[in-house]
Amino acid sequence: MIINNILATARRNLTMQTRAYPVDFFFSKLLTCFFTILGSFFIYNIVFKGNVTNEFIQYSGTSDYMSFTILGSFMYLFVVGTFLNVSRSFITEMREGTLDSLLISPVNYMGYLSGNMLEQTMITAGELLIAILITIPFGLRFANINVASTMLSIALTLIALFGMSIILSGIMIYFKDTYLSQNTVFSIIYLTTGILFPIQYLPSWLQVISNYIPVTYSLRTLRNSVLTGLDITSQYNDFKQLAVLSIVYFTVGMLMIRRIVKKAPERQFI
Amino acid sequence: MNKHMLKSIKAEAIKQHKSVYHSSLMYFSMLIWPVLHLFSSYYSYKPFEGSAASELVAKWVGEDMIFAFILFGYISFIFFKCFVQSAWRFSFERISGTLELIYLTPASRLGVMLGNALASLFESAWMFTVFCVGAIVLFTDLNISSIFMPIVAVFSLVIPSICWGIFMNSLFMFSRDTGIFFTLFQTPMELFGGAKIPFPAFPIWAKLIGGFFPLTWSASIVRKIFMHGAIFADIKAELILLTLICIGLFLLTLLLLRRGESYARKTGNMALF
Amino acid sequence: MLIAKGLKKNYISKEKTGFLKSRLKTVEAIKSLDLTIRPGKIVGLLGLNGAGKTTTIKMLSTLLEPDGGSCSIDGLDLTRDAFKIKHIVNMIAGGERMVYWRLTARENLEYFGKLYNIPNNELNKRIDNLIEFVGLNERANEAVEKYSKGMKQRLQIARGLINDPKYLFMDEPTLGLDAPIARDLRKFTKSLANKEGKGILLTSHYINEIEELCDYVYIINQGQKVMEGSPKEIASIVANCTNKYHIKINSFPDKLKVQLETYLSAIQSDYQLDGADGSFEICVSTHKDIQSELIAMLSQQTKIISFAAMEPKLEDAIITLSEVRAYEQAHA
Repeated sequence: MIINNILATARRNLTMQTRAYPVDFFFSKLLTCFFTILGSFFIYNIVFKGNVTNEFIQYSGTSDYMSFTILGSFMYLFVVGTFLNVSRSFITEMREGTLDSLLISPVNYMGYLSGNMLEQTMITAGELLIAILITIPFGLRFANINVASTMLSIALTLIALFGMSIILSGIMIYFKDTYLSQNTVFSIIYLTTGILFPIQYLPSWLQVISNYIPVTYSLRTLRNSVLTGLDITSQYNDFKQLAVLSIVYFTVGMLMIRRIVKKAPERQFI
Repeated sequence: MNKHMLKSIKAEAIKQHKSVYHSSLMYFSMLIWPVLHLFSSYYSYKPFEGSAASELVAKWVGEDMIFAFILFGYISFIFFKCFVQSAWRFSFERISGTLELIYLTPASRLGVMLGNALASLFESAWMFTVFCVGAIVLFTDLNISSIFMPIVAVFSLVIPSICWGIFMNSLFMFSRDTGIFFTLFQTPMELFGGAKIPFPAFPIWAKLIGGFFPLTWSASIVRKIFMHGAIFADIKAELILLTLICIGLFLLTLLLLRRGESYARKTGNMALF
Repeated sequence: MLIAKGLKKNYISKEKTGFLKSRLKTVEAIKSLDLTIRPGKIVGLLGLNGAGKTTTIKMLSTLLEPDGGSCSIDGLDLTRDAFKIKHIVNMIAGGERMVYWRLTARENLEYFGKLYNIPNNELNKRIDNLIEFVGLNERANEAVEKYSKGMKQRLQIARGLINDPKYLFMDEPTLGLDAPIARDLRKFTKSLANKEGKGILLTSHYINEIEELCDYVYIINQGQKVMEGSPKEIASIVANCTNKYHIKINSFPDKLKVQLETYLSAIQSDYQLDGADGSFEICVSTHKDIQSELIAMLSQQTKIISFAAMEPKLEDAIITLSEVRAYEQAHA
């Protein structure tokens, strides 16, 4: 049942997406990623002639600034993709009037959402492959990669993002808004989780917020695994934090979405 | 410009404003997002601040003025960004079917575009004020030559950004696939327009791209006026370039509007989505 | 008066044949259409399926440019004087989307009224009247998103009347409306034509609505006119091929049965027998007018209790027409 739900949803989404905006959507996301990295490249190579401070090396554990920001941009691409897709799934159905037909069927929420997530992960993974090709000339280095810890980091990140997007999905349905909530979440994540700079530069009260957002740990473990090549045991604490946050977000999300979606048809008329 | 056109401008501006700022949360988010982005830009300079290259940078940015540099670049960027966003929102009228109803009326198309752009001028003006007050409080050493120059700065933001806005609006009217325009204009404008990175530092090809964005010259004028105490003569070149770009944009807008509507009337793509 | 002659519209659409490939495809939405709308008259536009009703309405309301033919509205040319025409026409489409959901009804009407350059005093008066008319007075200052479907549609109607158009094109205006509101709308549409002398073009799925309201009807199919006339005329022209008689007789002897069957099969017609409790009802459908022959034949052998020639209905006509078309197409 649940597998069927997952596959059916993923297939439906893929069909709709390839039919509606195939080329357009794809280039939009890639270009955004490309320009972000080009911006970092300009600052690093043209403005500062390839000089970073010792402080940066100490905070980030690497002097490879370009790889540092490229991985950050990839993560952001993934976060935005997931939130836009998975979080907006329910409210889009609500707006297009298909939510009722969905709720009439014995759909499994978990299956429905996982299907969205699966489709999203496939699409973004494809985009990332191309993004990696584009960014290699900018200096993305994989020489030190530790494959096992990279895989673990990605797996935990997927669960965490899934949980976060379910929560955001609930918020969107509750407030019947996508614009305000999604952009606020994007802005907060962009500033606080270390997409373009180590979070140690932030004032300490902001770092407190960072520590409760899984993306912070995702980024740290990803960078440590890919750039520095740290293995799983030496990143034990970060992985533990990421796992705990993932489970918390996911559980809260599932509990929340069930209630909110059930109430959605009533609230549609308020 | 006749009375009917003025009426269309006003009606469209009011409608757009009421449609967008239906919730008081909008006002809040209009401040919180830019502040968050501003700080993101600022912190992305941190890995370099105090590195061996700092002296190099001082020549473009000014000594210890990175934050001011980013702030004024960002203020300028916001003006233009608001218009691109409003154009993007306008493009949704195609989906909701209201664009067709606008085309059904004899209202001046240019007037509607202008009114729509003016609605977001409110947004940028509000942010501009808040940010400028913030800047004056934050930096006691702002270097402004006379009270007359900030007015010049405001004009060199408002007029080009309106031209940019109506150009974006008419461009978005032309096509169903607006997402790609958004990406093609918004992000490169931020990058090549020098909002974050000093324009003079760019390689020549990037300068060529950036030179076409009015933001490049507006931002340069604003920075010169607020940070370096420029007098009128110091910004003459930028003003001339800006004027030329604005005239070009305006003519392009007229052309696009005319071609866009007759194209839509031929293909019937005004409502289809 | 609105006179259209030989109106034509082609759509060129891109057909996706692959990820980046596409080819152009021309679809003839309207092949050649003649149409006249007189002030004070309601003209119906009935289509069989995908007939081009909406395309026609959009052309007449200047939203689409015809690819051929000519159309003049009160002496103005549809293509050349499109902007002047916009002042005197308006369109009301079914569906609930085409208003600003975040504005109130009044704000919506103010906005569109200003786009029509209606002087403020007059606009305010007109808005009051329209809001009153469509029955939104109590909630005129509430955001449209809180309205029900029917209320949104009523606002849509008010919007369509904001410029007091001389010609009004209504595309399925009662689609999804409650029965009482739909009835009010019909009444109102009628008075718009009769009292205010507006020329109205109406498309509807509800054939009864067309039959009730329209003075004249055009039936189009696949961009071509199939038939025109008053609803009665059309019904009777088409119904000539399907006369229906309901006859009640007192007995149905075998001899009569044989005679009837032979007679009917000779003219490729048929009958149905509904008999119960010793009464016999036969229903004859035929292409010919055989009323007198039938009466003669039956009265010789039995007693006719009642004889009814069914009044042809527009609906039957349309169904027959579409069946004929489908048959023709299948055998084309």
